[in-house]
Amino acid sequence: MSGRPHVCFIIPPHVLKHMTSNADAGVRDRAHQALEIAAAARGMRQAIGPMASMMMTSPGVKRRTVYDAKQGSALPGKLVRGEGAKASTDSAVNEAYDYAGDTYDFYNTVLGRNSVDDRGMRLDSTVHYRVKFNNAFWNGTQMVYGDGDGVIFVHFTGSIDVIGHELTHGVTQFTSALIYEDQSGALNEHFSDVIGSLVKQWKKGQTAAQADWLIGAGLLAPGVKGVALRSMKAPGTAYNDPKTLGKDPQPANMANYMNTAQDNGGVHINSGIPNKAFYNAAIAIGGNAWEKAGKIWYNAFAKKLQANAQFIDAANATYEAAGELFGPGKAEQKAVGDAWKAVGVNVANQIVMGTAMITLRAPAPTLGPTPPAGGGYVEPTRAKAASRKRPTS
Amino acid sequence: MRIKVERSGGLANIGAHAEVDTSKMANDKAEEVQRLVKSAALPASPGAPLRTPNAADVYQFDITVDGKTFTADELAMPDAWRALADYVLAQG
Repeated sequence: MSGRPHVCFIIPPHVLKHMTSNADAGVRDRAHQALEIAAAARGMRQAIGPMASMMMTSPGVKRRTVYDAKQGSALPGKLVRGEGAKASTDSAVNEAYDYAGDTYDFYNTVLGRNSVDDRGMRLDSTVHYRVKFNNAFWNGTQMVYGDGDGVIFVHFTGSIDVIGHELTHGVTQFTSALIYEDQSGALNEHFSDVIGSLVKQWKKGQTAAQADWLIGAGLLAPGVKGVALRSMKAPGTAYNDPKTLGKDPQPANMANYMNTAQDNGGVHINSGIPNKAFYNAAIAIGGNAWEKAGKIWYNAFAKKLQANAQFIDAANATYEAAGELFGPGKAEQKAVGDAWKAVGVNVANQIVMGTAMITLRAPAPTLGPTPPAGGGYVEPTRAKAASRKRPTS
Repeated sequence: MRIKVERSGGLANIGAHAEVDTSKMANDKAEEVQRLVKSAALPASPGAPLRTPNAADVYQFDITVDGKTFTADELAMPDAWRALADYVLAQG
């Protein structure tokens, strides 16, 4: 007997979609209602699925919905494209849909995460929010994009890393829940920039050395002096235009950390410091940034950090994650420690003995005949300390 | 009455600010500002900033009326605050 509920749809979604454009208001409303119910039912199935089959690994299921705010501020707005529906004539709708899909695929394929909540949560986006709105945000439930005013910015859906950035705010909400203020808020911003940039690099097949490391390249309107919203490679250099944006204020080192009450305590400013640390680590490790540096950061940010984490906690967590993934004292871990040190954040649980670095939180060496975990890597100090404690009787 | 509005944050963190003094404005504009301030019904003293739980990249508004600063994000702020903030920023 199967306890699994099942939901059937008599009218295929693409037909419902067509009906929503029907001239008859009643038909239109009912079609919208049906689409909403269908979407809700899919959500229910997704939530019930894992319970009904505890022993099965739940495969990733990509579900996207795009709404149009039609220049208003009511959210989510009018449903204009659901999963599997054909492309819209509106490029903003298609960009929101396609890039959310790329971000979903990146999380699923590279990091083994099934959507924002790791349980297949539907990815909702709203485009054309307000009039000439120069912003994009995550409201706690969905992504929201403005069209830009055409003077400083063009439409915000045009940049794949911006969409990866917004969705990652959702991932942070479901994992570390980094408080959106001061250093923890700057880390929240930082992690969104990291994944945003990695989604773009992964999609383009670029190595760390080939990538531009820019956030929001292409969002600046023609004539604005700048290349993007932020540069992870060189924080503080993304734009410099006295007439419109002013100068990019991001610091790249703790020495220039900015204390401010604005921007939730400078969350979009001081994120330049960890951004530069990630860039340093990715370049030092080499190859594709998502393969090693990206996994180290994901393991630290999604699985280790607490909501009130400070930069030093992120440094320690990434250092620890690097040791767990690639071995304590290996090149990857050293690269992470050095990357943070270069921006003025010294990893705490790292001591230097000659050229070797060891992690104090590594598993304690065993006293019996079993060799220590980690394939023969021995921590000299600890081994000695342990042997001193060995009972002599 | 002096009113200062500062907008910060947002994905791009491009700020905006403006300050008006109703005693130095044209009568019709001064009256509009006073009407908007009245409509905003700001509390006697600023409490904790109004923030939307789990939101990120939303604008932060700091509205200072006669020396008292009220902070709210764009989703948490009442519509009447937004109307006041937008009007003052448009004068800047």
